[in-house]
Amino acid sequence: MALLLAGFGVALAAVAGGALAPRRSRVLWANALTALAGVLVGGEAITALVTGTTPHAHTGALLPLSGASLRLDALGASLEVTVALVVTSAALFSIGYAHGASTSRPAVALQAAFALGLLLVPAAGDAVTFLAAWEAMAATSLALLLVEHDRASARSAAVWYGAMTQAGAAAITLGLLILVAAAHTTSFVGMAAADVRGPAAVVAFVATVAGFASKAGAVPLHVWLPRAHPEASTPVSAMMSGAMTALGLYGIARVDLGIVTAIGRWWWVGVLVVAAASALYGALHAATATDLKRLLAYSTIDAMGLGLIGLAAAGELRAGGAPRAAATLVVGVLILLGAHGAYKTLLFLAAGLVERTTGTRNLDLLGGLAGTMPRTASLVTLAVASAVGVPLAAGFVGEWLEIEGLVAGLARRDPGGVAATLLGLVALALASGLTAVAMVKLLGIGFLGRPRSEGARGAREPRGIVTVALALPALATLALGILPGPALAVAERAVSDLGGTGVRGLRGSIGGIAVGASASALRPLALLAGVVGAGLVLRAVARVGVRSVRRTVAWACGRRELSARMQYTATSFAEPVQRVFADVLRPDVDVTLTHEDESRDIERVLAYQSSVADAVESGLYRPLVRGADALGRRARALANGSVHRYLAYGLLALLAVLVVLR
Amino acid sequence: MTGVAGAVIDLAAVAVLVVGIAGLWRRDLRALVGLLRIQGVALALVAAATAATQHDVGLGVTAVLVVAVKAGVVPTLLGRVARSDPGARESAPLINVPSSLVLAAALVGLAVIVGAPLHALEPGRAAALAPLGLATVLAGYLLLVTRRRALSQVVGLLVIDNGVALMTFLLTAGVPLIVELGGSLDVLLVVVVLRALLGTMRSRLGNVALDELRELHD
Repeated sequence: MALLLAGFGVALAAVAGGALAPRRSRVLWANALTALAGVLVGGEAITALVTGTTPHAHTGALLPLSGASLRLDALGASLEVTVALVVTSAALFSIGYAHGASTSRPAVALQAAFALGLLLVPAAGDAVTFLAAWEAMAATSLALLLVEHDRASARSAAVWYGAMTQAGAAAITLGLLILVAAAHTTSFVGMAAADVRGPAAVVAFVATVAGFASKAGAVPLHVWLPRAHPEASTPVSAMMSGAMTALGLYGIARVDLGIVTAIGRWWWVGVLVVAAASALYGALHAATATDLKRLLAYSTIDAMGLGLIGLAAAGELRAGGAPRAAATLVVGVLILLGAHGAYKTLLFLAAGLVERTTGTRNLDLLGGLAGTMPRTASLVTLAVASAVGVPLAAGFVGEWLEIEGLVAGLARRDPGGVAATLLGLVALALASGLTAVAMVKLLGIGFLGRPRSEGARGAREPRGIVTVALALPALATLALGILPGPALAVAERAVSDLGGTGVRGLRGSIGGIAVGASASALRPLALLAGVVGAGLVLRAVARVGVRSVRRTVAWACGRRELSARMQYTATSFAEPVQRVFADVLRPDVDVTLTHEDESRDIERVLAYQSSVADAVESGLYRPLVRGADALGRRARALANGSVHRYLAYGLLALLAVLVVLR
Repeated sequence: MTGVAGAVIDLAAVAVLVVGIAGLWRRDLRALVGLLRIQGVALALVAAATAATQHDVGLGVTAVLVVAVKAGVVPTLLGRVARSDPGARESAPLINVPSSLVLAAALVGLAVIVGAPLHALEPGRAAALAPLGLATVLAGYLLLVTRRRALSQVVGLLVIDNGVALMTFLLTAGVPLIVELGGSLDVLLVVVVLRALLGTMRSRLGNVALDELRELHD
């Protein structure tokens, strides 16, 4: 507990440092302290996981009525490790990266406060502390969007985000209040033991799932995400994507899997459908996006959708009498969230570096960065491998466990349940494929090939602490990917925090992990040894067999010189996907043909433009906003500016209340 | 409860309401301020008599405080505003005086009906008078809604406050001193601010009738 409290104390000191320290040392103080807080809190979480203890503390002060209560059980601790990793990396990155508006007093202090809020959420032990931490996290992240408030796009993103996050927080508050009222306690442990049933449970379930899912960017509540992530400063978008969205899923696991256990399985099937839709929608948009950060934002929606598929299927399986498969899924989702936190942080931070050095985020104008930024490029390659699910990277472990859980869920004698599980499996498969397209595009178009613009040509490898900040999540990705056994063993305990039965059959060791009686197993160490061995053999064979070495440009079709215009662009790479899914994406394609002056038959310039707007936003939210606007205009007649009229409203309301409550 | 103190409470409580309704009848602004002063004294009497019957020193201090603020400082401050514009009258209230009085009678009836359960909270003679406080609140509200002059509206606001205070005295034999202190300071602050505001409005806009300020909206 001491480490945890020290961590929060240091995080508070970081906020104070950001608010009080002089301009020159402000960024260093606040972020160094935030990073230290991340290390302390992460250390406590890892200790708790390894030793199997549950540090907890309660104070009657700080929050009214119920007091504040901290409790770091295995579920919270596994999330806390992820959050601490993301926060530490982002803070270290800020030290070397922050400039301009993001070094202002409010920006630095708010970023530290945002980190504190993120670290607090998984450690909250009761509903009131949780809501306070949640609101701190939501409010500071909203304010951080407005750091560059002179940009209209930032203001608009903040309005969207503000509306969504506040509506979400209201829904979560409502749901938790209902549960607290039914359970007669605010502590999560007590609420889980109370076994709330009936209509109250249903309302609480729907409200909390909607609120948490909007934070995790589930369709159709995702519209804030692709706007907010590109507008926030790079470390903030990394924290938002890597940690904050993951906390949305944490909320669903904690409250809906852990407390509302008596809910009918078909509610979970509904969540599963939403999750499948958002995974596919996010993956599709990521595959067609050309803005680097927008691509990453949609890929966050995709990854969170995959996680939500896992949680929803786990809920359905548990209610449907397959607790082992459910447990495997929960563990898989926890690992997936950790992997996502690591690789998405790395990618966002790298995107910030690329934007800083090339002056653009447009993939169509990038390329060839592997030559000029080799270190960053190799780290990004690792992150992309994790995102796509290449073995030996962390993302693969999570996806593998999730697929194992879903496949185990197919072995039931219940057609409805099997169909639902199958839906999750198919969505997972399709979304993974589309994710691969998006990530290959990011790496291939952005970092390989030839530079497509002057900015990309002049890119420089960044030096100093930013590279360390990128290496940290990369190390975590590799560690989790090569040695998943220990992580699995500790994440498994989180399942019992959710009131599930133990997994028994899910075994993790140094050598690998195994699931079920069928002994389906993953042995990354053996794979690594095999890969290294095969590489050495190939190298030896190549040395023996080849007499002379001729170096030439690969994939050049025999030509010596290739120009940048001969290669795929991000737009053309995604064009087939965009064409196949045109009905969902509704792209806006514009082809302009310019002719030579002499003859109409000779074409001079063929300009192709395509942009993909968010169909949910234009189809669902625009009419909603228009309707609310019209209602507001009409309501103006009620308020004509006369003081007497307003006072009369007050009197009438008072009289009505008196009569009704008589 | 001794007979004399009980009678004083009865009379003073009724006086608070009657003075509040009289506010609807008088149109002269200076007379309105005078009524407010009388209401403050009546309110203090209620508090003092309650303090005497219950031997409550805190409530006695509260009574002194009420006299000082509600019968002293506040009416004096408002009186200065009224004197700076001699002969100012509530020339055209939104609802004319006879109708206002009829409405006030209806509101008193409503308060008695609605307030009847209040008696159940604390059986006793004083609690039975609590609907008078409610009626005073409603009369003050009516004053606030129907009068055009800014000063009359301030008076309406204070009548509402007095009504609330009357209810607290009658029902709970007074809130703790510190709360009453806070409440009184709040009212004082409101009056000071409003007085400054009224002064500025008069110097900029001349005559202060709130209906003429409608162009400021949006």
